[in-house]
Amino acid sequence: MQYLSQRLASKPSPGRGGDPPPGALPPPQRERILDATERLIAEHGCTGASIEAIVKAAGVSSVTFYEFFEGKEECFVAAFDRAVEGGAAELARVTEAEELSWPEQIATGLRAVTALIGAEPERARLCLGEAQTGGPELSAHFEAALDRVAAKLREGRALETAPSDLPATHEEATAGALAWLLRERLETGDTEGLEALYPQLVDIALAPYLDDG
Amino acid sequence: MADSGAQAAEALASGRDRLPPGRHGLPRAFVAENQRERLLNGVVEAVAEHGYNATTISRITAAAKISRRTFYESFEGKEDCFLAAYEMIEAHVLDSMLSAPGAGEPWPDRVRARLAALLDVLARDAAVSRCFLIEPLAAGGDVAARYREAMQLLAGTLRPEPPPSELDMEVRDQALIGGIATLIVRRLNAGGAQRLPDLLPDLVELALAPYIGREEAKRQAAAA
Repeated sequence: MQYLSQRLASKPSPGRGGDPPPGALPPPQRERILDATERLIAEHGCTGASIEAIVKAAGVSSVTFYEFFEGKEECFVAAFDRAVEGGAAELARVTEAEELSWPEQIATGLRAVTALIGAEPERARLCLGEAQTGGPELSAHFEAALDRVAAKLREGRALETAPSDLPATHEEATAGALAWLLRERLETGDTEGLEALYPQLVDIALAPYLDDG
Repeated sequence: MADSGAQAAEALASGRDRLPPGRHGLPRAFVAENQRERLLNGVVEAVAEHGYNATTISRITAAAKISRRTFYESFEGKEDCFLAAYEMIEAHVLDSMLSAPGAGEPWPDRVRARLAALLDVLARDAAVSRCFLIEPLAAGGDVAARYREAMQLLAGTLRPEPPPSELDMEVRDQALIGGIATLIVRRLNAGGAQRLPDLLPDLVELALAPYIGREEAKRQAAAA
């Protein structure tokens, strides 16, 4: 324990660490802290988002901060997880709404992702760029999110047109390529480029499975 | 001057870890260069161990066994020092790729040789590889910009020649480098630097398939 505010924080707290228990509303203070974290990371990067700045922007005390999070990195991870879950829920909504084939799900999903990034660039910056700069725990969560994308892509191997001998790493590489392309547009503030990129994203994701020659 | 510099280098290489204190008769420029090199090594050690953000000047100078004052004689600060180290690593990686055997060979063989060289050079030193591919994004600013340029150059060494004109090469380059970097970074994060060369067939197929089709890319990858 290094700080007085850590010592003063009451524990254990229900919202401490990962996600709130299922069914429970997330504590509003915790949500405010995560909102502020998201905004500050987008503005200043993980390095520039200090606990001091976060509590100030969230309008909570640092004691409250430590009631929910052990430190900065745990808070970053929670903000990242919340953003990814929000995106995943939106993707599930658009791809599972109707009976879509796998290629249609991928195309619809990529359309939704580019739209989400355009609509919420701050959140997208956290998910795609800054997630790789906030320490090992955050990196691990970023990689787990990439794994979810890779798992969805891997369903394409069931298609009749899919080659039987794609390398085991193929989907991992594709997920990385998609994230890279989106991040580059985002970092340069090129939201128009994001739109133009959409057909190429679909091509990169689908072509290997639809390739019959 | 060059002679005494060479003698000094030899003296150092023969086992003396650091320059003797006081009047050692070594030319000032050589001493400065030697200290600079040690600081570059120190920043790589410190950044690989602690991450860029938690790296302090003290950690760099401790790893380099050089005084803080001397640090500021060579560099303005942490970013300046890391950028200099980054440039040296980048030049080394790209040189290794470009000087890989197979310069006169057909394009697919050249790609295979260059990717093999990339994986070999990264497998040799996990700390250097972290600094080359993982920490620049955390560093941000000039280092991140330099990293982006380096990745673009790296992709350029794998392009078909002449590039097919109808394709958007920028997107192709970024997709390829995104795929390659992701596969390498994940293995580095999992502590598997030494096994990086195992990725060669997969990377070869990744680089070739968009241009020569999967069947032929597979054949070339099998040769890897």
